[in-house]
Amino acid sequence: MKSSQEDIELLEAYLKGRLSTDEMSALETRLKNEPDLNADYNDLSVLVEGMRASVLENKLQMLKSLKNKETPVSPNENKKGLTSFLSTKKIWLAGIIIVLLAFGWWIMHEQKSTVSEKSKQLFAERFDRDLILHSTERSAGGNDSLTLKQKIAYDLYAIQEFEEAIPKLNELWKIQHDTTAYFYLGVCYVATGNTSEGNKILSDPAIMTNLNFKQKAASILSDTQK
Amino acid sequence: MDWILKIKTDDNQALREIYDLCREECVTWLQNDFGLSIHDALDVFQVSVVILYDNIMTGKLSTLTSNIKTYLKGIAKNKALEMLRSRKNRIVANRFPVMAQFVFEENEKVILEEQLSTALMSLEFLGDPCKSLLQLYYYNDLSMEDITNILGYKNPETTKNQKYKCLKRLQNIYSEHILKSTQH
Repeated sequence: MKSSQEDIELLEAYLKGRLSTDEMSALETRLKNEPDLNADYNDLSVLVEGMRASVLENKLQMLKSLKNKETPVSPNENKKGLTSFLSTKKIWLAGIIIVLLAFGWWIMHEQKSTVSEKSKQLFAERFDRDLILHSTERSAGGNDSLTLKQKIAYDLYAIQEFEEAIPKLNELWKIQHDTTAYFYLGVCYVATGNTSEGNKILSDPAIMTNLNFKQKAASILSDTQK
Repeated sequence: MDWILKIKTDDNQALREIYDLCREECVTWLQNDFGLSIHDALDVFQVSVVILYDNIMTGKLSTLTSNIKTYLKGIAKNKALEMLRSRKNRIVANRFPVMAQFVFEENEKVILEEQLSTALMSLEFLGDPCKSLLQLYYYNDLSMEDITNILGYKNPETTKNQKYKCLKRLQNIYSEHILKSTQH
């Protein structure tokens, strides 16, 4: 995305139909003359439709979960229902294929990624792939397994708002002994330059004896100690 | 009951209520008038409820001039006929999930199948909270203040900056994948 934040906001207003006629024709002229802006507009249009499809699919799955709870299947409907069963199966298959493709893609990136000097590149390149350990997917019915406090703290961590996440993660560790929060806290300290505090947490037995965190913590420790 | 307002303010609850209110009548009607099996009738009914939701959210439906059941039946009738036509013509099932196919068909002239499937995959790869943030802004059309309250950010300015960062990340994932697929 090469356009500035202001231009992106302009494109958003255009897509949402919120520009005046004059603003619209000015933007359309720019779109004809500025290939980068035009490319961003094209991408944004597709991504917005992707978001729409994703929301609608999620709503459909929510309704289907209501159906599963309520609909008895009468024996003479079994044969007729086969078609819709196959179509449901296709949806699942499509979902599985998407996940597999994303996983394959992730593996390709994983092989390519190299951890270089200290934390800066570590967080720039590996963060999304390696250091977000909680599930970032939501259930169709909105039944997330995280508490509200965990969700807010984890979300702040996931979007790399480390300074804001630190007190919230600290509280989760101190009050609930949430080890994921403790691991994230260590990562936050390293990311914000407080390497000694971060390393202290990441080498703490609570982390190093936990199979979920041990390897990742060791990798960060080795990277920051280079 | 103002269903449009209800959907805009508490969508999941409103959809559940519409589902409960209309399901029996609509499914029976689809079975009797179009000869659909109960499963097909339910599939059509559920898709119709989601299309009703989409029509409201995208502003295509801003006032309900008829009863909600009548409006829903109008959508369901078209979907049932579409299903019967595709069976009669033996049209091969689409490779998209149902609602993605619906969005694709609405944009067929301007968006390629591969672009939409890559956009969907990129969104899954992006994950939350970015995915939710972008959907709340672009699809639900919520203000920065509302999104700030829902997602627990510090202030609307933080949310706005975050939205820009998330969009950039999403677009990077998307472009990288599109580039890779054109190289193959």
